[in-house]
Amino acid sequence: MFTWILRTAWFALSAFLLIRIYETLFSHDQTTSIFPFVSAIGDVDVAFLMGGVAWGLLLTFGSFSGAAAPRRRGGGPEHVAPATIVDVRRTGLTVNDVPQYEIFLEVEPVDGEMFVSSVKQLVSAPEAAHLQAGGMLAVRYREGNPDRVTLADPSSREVEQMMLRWRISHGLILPELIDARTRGTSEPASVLELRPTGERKAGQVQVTARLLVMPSDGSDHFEVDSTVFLHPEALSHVQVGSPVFAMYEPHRPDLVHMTIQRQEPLA
Amino acid sequence: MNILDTLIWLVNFPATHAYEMVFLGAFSSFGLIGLALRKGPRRSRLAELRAERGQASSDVPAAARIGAALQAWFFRLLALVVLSGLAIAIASLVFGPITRAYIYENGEQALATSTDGISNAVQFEASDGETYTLNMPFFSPPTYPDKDAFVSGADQIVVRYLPGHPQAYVIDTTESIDSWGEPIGD
Repeated sequence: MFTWILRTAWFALSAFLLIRIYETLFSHDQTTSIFPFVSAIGDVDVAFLMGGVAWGLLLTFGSFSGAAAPRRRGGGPEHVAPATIVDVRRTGLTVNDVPQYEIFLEVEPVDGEMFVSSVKQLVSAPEAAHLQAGGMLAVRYREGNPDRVTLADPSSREVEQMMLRWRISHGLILPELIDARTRGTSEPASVLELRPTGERKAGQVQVTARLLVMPSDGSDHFEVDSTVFLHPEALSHVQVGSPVFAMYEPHRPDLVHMTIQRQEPLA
Repeated sequence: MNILDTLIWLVNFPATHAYEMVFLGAFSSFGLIGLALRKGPRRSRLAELRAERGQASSDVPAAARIGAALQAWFFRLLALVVLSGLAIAIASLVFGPITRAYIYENGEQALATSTDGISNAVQFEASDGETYTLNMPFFSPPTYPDKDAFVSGADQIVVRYLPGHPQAYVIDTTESIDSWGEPIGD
């Protein structure tokens, strides 16, 4: 919209300058003009000068700088989906020394086709260090409109639930542990051993962790193995001695799903 | 009317509007050069990524390509015109309008009067029977052969103008005389 206002102003100034040039080249009386503000010009054609400067500035700063194709509005109901960062670029805009980035994302809805979109966001320097290709973010999008995507709050319950459904649908939770993860209770645990299995899926690595589970109801501690897929960025939180959480159903303490933070069961 | 006269008449515009053209050219030159050198229709990174994944056509639409090519050629032509005007204007500010010698050599003579008012203008009747009232710029005065002649003190002004384009004129400083009866030029 703003670009079109600038372009209209540029075309209006172009018309004014052309008319003044035509008047100078063809007029029999150069002291008069069809523009009332030009008649008392003196020795310098001030209107032509000012118009020329504005014309040049509009031309230089923006009116033809290749505005991006307009993004579609509207769309269906809003959903939350995980997205993988494909590319990150600075837009050149800064607000209070905080640069704006355009983050290109591959959005993978739990139900539906994967699509590529982008989101512009002001990101401080420490946060920008985490914006690497391959990283994951949660986004909100409208069905049928891949052009409008916004970042979702990763700590919200809605996002947590969506991520869980997405992990189940992508086979990132072993079938035998789905009940433990979706219906179990979360209890504190510590990592005793960690061993990668060598399997990878959706950019995540599978590890088997030996956990020492410490139930909060005062019952005896016990050791158990848990095989889970982890995002490579999360591996630093799962080292020998790291405090984690074990999710299991009370009647099946042998089937445990490890989580880094305390998680809620699926609603 | 010949082609050279027409060319000089066109060049005479930036030469006699040198002060204005320097500003116009200086403020627009970067934008014009940038637009003239811009290559092809640009695709956003988002469109590239979508095309790589088969979610959008990888070809730029023909209409967009033709439009971008036409725009680039338009700005190349405009850059040539404006930057030539800038060069003519700078030369004219330094040396006086660069078209003066040609108009003086090939122009027709006419008696002129200086008009009163805010505009510093000369008025003369050309051979086509029309009366022309033309501005006399302060920063690039069309006086020849003496570019520093003081025209406003002249008692009788003689101009030379191109017969086909009387708007292109110079003040003949050897024929124009002041109130002492002396030529206004050296």
